[in-house]
Amino acid sequence: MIEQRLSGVGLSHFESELPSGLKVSTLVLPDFAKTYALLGVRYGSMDTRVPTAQGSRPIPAGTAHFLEHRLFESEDGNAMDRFASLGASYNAFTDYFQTAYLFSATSEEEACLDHLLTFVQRPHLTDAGVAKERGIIVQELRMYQDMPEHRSWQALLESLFHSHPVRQEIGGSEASVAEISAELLLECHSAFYRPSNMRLVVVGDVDPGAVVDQAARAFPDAVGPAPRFEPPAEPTAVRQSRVETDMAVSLPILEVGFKDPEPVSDLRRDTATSLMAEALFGESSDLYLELYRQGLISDGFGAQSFTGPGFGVVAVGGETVDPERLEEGLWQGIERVVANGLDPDRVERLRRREIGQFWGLFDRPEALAHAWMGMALQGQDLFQLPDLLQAITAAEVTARLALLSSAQSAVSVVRHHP
Amino acid sequence: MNPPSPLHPRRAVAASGASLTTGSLLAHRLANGIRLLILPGLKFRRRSITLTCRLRLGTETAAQALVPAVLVRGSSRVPETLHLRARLDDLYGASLTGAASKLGNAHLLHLRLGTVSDRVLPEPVWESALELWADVLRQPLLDQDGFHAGYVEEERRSISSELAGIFNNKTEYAQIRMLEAMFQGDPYSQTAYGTVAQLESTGPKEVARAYAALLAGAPITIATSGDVDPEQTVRQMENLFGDLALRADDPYRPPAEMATHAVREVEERQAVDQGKLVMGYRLGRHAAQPERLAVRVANALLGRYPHSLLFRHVREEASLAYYAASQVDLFKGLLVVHSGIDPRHRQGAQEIIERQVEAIREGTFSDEELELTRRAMQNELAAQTDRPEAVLGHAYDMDLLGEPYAPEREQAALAEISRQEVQAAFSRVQLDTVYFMSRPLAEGEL
Repeated sequence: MIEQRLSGVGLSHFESELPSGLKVSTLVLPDFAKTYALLGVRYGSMDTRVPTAQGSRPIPAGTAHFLEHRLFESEDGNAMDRFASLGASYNAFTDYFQTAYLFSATSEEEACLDHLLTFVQRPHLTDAGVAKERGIIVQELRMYQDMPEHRSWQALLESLFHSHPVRQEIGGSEASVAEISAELLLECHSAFYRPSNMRLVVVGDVDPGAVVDQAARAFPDAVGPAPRFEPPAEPTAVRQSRVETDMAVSLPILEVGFKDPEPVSDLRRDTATSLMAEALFGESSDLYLELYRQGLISDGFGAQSFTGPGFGVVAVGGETVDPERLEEGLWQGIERVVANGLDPDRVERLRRREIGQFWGLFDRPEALAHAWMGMALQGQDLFQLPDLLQAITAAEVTARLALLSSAQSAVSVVRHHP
Repeated sequence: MNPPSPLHPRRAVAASGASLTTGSLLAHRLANGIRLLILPGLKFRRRSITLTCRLRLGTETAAQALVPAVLVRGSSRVPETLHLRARLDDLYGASLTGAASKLGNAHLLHLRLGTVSDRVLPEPVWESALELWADVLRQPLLDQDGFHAGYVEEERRSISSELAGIFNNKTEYAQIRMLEAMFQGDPYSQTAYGTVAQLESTGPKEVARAYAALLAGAPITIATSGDVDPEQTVRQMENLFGDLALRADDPYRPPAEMATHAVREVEERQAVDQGKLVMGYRLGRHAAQPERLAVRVANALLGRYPHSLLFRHVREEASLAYYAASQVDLFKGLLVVHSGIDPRHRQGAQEIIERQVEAIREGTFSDEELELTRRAMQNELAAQTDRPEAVLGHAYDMDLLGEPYAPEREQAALAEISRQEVQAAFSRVQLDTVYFMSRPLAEGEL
């Protein structure tokens, strides 16, 4: 177990890799009442193939998410019941590259952790259970279909990418979930839920050594590697530059997405990209205030940088009364900054702001654990951020402006259907 | 599953933020009646201060809600929003936010400052940040008509467009429509930002008038947490706010008894896939009564957790919904059940929901279900000490009721609460309004 001191906040985090391959990360927060634990599997909606004797074959969209729902079913009832009887709160989620299970407890932490480490290893999948869950999942998918921001985002990814599986809905479609069987879920569980493909993150006033011992008991043996994600050949160009979605809305949505033509996993570059996006579109930018003054945006407007294996996107947008004028204003603002460059003083202020936000994370165990897990499962180290933020130069941030090329962009508009 | 989206959440509804607690909560009253709630301690790495002013919902709701929104745009000393925000970024991302919320028929306005603690940062920021906070509060940017006309107009338009955009969030929209139907003629039917019509007739003069009312004697609470020296904080607040007029003695008034009538049904057709069923119940109980805790337990048993009756029966057993949950507003005497369902099964879902409310009233829930609810609530209450904004929010509510913040007492009461008390808590519950939104259904679909 390696202890790493975070001198800024006077805290330590502890890292180990067990013989089984499971990675265990602990952050000790003295005097916190709550222990927050997150068990993550590097298996998400992007993992669209399962290994076979001959190689691999495709699986229906939404399989990882379906498995997450069904894994709570156990032989002796529902895995939720055990957490509930221990007084813990618990949940799970699936995104593009991970499935994660979590609990938060102020007592019986050890029993909760045992349960978390155990139930995910014991699938109890029946055809009847799968059929019943399908009804619940279909309701969930329909709920997302009624959310304009979800539809806009989905349409944007489908426009930016030709074949990268990030373009698929995380939960799949009603048609794809209809193809998912208990047998398939079991097959995916055995392929992906392997200790070498998982990580445990625990945040709270805990004994890191005891956490590691517990994890080692629950995962004694290595099972072999999980399938590696191979990004498909993805053209650098966008698939289509504009998409319109008609649905029941009272306010249209405009989002502009930029596709990174050379996506690489590099935290320093990602950090520079985020700073660039914040410099241009953040609420303390000229452009934000100008668009706000014109009544084209409100508090929900913003930009985000979204990266993962084989893809990188910067997206900016929000609800607006006038998508055409907002789009025009955005392009003008981008052109202006690309022509004049970024103000180094502004980059310096945003650097300080990001450093403050990083240290503020240590008061929010959930947000900290999620950021930690999301980055660690992609081979990145959250705790490098303060040093990186110090080291990044205004020139590096400015260089990321190259990403904002209209040739690499797609526009997604959601409007009220007539 | 929660896919990332570039659309940030809507305007914060209540004061929230971050800071610390290893010490216990201190309460103090300035000579003019301003209340201080201080939560000192070193466990946290953030520090915050929030001024909350209590007014009433009514014809001025929109003007009142505009006050904090306009204040954070700039002060007479830092008039340009761009400069103010640059200052905040420079202070390691200090946040200065204005918000409005509802508590029963009270209208709460919040002005909140949050920073990282000085002991964590390479250089101190708190005093400079506090100066900005005090500045926007006490030195607003004025012109001849009252508040700065440009900022008032921009904030008015921003809030109007957010109100117009509520329909984009079907879950929120359905709940608001149910409240509108249930509370016709009662200002509680408004959002914390008023109505579109109110906003249309609100300008710099109205906002200035609302600001003056706030200074002239409305109840004010200042809540702070983090690396705080309590004595220094009291002195600082005396200096900043000691000159304000004496605060009105405006104790909590229980909500008026709601009229009994036949169940109101409202149906709305929209092009949506998932149906939204929202049911409003008159609780017949309110926050100032000793049954308060039992009501919260009864509600939690009904629909706050995955082991609660609604989730179990509507979602897990009948597969009729993705979500089915309940919440109470004890300051209004209101219980709301909301769910996202297959519209073809509306009748079935409604019946199952009504049966669960009945189950609590009749006591046909199991001892285990009650025990799980009790433990979950005890866990939440214990975890609250990790979130200063939650402690201070809870303390504010208790203070309004004239009671001390005593989480240990509440833990003990939770441990002892009986099934009879939980049953009795819902004994006066009556269904008032049912709101249902769905796509147009073809004949034979029902």
